[in-house]
Amino acid sequence: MREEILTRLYRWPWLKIVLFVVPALALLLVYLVIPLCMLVVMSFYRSTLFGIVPDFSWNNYLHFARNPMFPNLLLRSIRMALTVTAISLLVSYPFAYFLARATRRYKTALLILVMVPFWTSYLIRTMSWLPILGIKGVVNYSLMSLQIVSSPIEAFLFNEFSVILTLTHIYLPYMVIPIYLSLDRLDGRLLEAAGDLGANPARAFWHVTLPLSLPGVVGGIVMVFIAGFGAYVTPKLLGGSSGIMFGNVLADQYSGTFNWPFGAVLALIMIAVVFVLLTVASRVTRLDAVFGGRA
Amino acid sequence: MLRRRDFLTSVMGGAVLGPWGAANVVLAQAALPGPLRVHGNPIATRDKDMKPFKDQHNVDVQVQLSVTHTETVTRIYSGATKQFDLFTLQHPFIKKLAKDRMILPIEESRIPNIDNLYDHVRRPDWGVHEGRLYAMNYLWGYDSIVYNQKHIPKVDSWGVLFEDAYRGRVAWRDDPLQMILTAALYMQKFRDPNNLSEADLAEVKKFLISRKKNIRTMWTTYAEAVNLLRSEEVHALWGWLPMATALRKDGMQTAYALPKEKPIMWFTNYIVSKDSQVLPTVWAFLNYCLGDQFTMSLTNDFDYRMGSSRQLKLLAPERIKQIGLDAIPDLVRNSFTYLLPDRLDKYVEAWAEVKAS
Amino acid sequence: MTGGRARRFLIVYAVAVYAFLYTPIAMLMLLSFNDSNAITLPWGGFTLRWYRALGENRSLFVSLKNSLALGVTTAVIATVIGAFAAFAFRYRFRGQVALMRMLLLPFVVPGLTIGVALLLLFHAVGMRPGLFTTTLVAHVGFTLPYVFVLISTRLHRFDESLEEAAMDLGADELATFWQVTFPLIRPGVVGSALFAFTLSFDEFIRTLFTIGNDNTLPIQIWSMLGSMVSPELNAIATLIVIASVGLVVLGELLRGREG
Repeated sequence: MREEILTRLYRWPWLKIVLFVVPALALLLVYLVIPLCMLVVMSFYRSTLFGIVPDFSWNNYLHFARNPMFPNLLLRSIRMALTVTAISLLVSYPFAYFLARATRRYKTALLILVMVPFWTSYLIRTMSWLPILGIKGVVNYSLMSLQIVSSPIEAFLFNEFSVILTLTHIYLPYMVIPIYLSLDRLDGRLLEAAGDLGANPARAFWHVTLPLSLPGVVGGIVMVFIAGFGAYVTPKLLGGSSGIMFGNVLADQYSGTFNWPFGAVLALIMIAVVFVLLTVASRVTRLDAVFGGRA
Repeated sequence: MLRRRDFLTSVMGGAVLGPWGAANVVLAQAALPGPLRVHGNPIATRDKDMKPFKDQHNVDVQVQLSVTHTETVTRIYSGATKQFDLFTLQHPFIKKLAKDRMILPIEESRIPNIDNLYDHVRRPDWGVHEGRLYAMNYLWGYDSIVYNQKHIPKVDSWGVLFEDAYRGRVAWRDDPLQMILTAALYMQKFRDPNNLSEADLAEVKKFLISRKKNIRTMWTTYAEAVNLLRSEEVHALWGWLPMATALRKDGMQTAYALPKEKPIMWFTNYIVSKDSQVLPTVWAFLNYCLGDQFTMSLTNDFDYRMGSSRQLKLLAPERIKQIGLDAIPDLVRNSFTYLLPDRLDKYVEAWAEVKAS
Repeated sequence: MTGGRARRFLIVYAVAVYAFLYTPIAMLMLLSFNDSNAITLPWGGFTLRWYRALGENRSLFVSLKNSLALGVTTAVIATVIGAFAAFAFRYRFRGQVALMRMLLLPFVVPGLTIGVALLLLFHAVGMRPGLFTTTLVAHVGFTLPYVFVLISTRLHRFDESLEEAAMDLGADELATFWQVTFPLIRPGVVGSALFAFTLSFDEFIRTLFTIGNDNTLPIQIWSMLGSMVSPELNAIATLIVIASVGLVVLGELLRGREG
């Protein structure tokens, strides 16, 4: 029996592909396709307080176009997400390299230790920044004790800086793990061989390490950028009086008013923006090839 | 699967117990149907306050914690009435839910303790639709300013949150309705602050944007507000009474203002889901929530103003004064009860513009 | 590498990054022992009262149990489905690029939007909301793209000559998979399962709209911090961190003894 199944799978590779893809497709149907269709339909509806009137109009889209706040916030979100992505990449790459080069038996433990901080609640973790960075926080206290500053620095909290800092903290694993996973495939002996052949470390890195880690870098950039682009809780909690991002006006439509149709418009615009950015990026970085298995 | 089994047992039980049908009815009255499924605020549904009811009636109470009132309303409108028997909800949403037939009227005759309610929540405007009561109040109070008396001796106006005097040392709440209303009350020039015209709303927005420079931040959750005051990051903020109480227990000199431009009054209530299948349990539970045990448990732990006026009989006079229960009619008369504006979306967008500016 | 100096730099750097990751964690652990009604400094003296308060709050542990069970289930299912999909991408097939885009798209759909859409959908088809039905679907859907990306980065330019060699030596396809392929991608599977668990364990908004009559830890925490002061939440977070780190260390010690 088992033999027979295996032979069939061997003879018809497409059957194998279908079997591999069906579970993901089924899930995407429920989690993505149907909700997206609902969004598109809903985006043309009209909202009343608590209710939705199903009549077709472009008003929700026009509303987006009329108020310059929306595109401005969209740009701010892209800028913030790019900043967070860039910082995460710089911080994560050497760290992921360390993890990949660590003694084999400690690797899993070191990896788990990267994730343990995130098994505490997001909200409690975010609130912990106040006693660290606040006016009377640990950092300001230390700076003043050491007489580096004479009055507390208020700029540590409740502005763009604190949002970027916290987002970088939260999304660090999103960048570290994919880079680690791709670097880890790298056989140490490959580098030694390159060294034996006379390549200096910089050249070995440039020609051997970096190309091999590229899929992880691309994966990390995609994950951090998209997560940062959609962030809304961190800007709300740590952004102070002017820190909101595009995700916040979207959240308002659900948790502030009950304007789901306009929320749908904002969500679709968000999706479209990321889709366009992904397409442009894939032209440059051959994103499709990264996830397409063979280069 | 479970349902079918329940059904079978009841049918078989009926067949077997046929001759003793009358005895059965008596038994059914003693035992309440369960489980009671409550979608509620964590304050109203603490384990220790649910336990006496469970034990007394031998019925299970399942609590799903609510997060914000708007999220509760969202869930109710998307079908959660089938999931829950009771919801806790603030007053401005009640009339609309009643009109849309999402909730059932309170059967006052089934709740002996209903006359414990304070007069102003017994049949309030916001809870009555077509002559019937739809909300049973268990908690009420007013929003105002919590301040640190070490830095600010006396606050009697919303102005402390807007004027330059304490620049950088005050915080607002990140809530469109409440903050726009607060500013409108402070400006004292609008006929109905609950329902500003577009021109008025634009004026309030401009005012808020011009005063934003004076605030350190805006808080979202209760705990953040308490933390901001405790670490002296700010000295005054838009807040709630129990914040001041909690910090006083920490040895801080915190006070709760009564702004002369009127504080904002709110009422948190139990409402009954239209699809509840365990109404006898619902009425018994509501009766329990108006009883002395539940009322005093929350009063003692949080200094809250409860729905039941039995507080006044059971508290010592100095405590009554301390919590501010000594002049309720005056307080009610001099407060402003907030309601939902017709164009909530305009308010929310104006607030987003304040924050985005 | 030119040996010692670069290696030492890497270790110092790694310690610094770990320190950054654990800074807020150290603070929240410290605050769980702070004798204060607020969850912040100043220090009000050492107390264990928040740990005692935990003992009175049984529902907090029920929520923790729910979150753990949901997180583990999500991690297992998402990793299997995601790994299958990533494997399919080793072959060329029609619609490959479109499917890849689809697999990445759930990243972008905002949590609130998908939460409300799923809520409407589940009610429309009469599916009763529950932890291991509707919420699980939401969590697996949410974590799937991450798992897919992580396993893909591992599979990329996978050296097929090893598999071919095994087959040439007479191993059937399953044997080849378990003995050759799987060991090579195992770090990817472990990493993405851990990642999926992490995402699910702390997910709030998608849970809020899809859950039945249970609570998860994030819901409990958001709900409690929204209306009361509750430093016992720091106590439970501290216990989780200590237990996790303890398990990691214990695992290493046990493995050390075996080896």
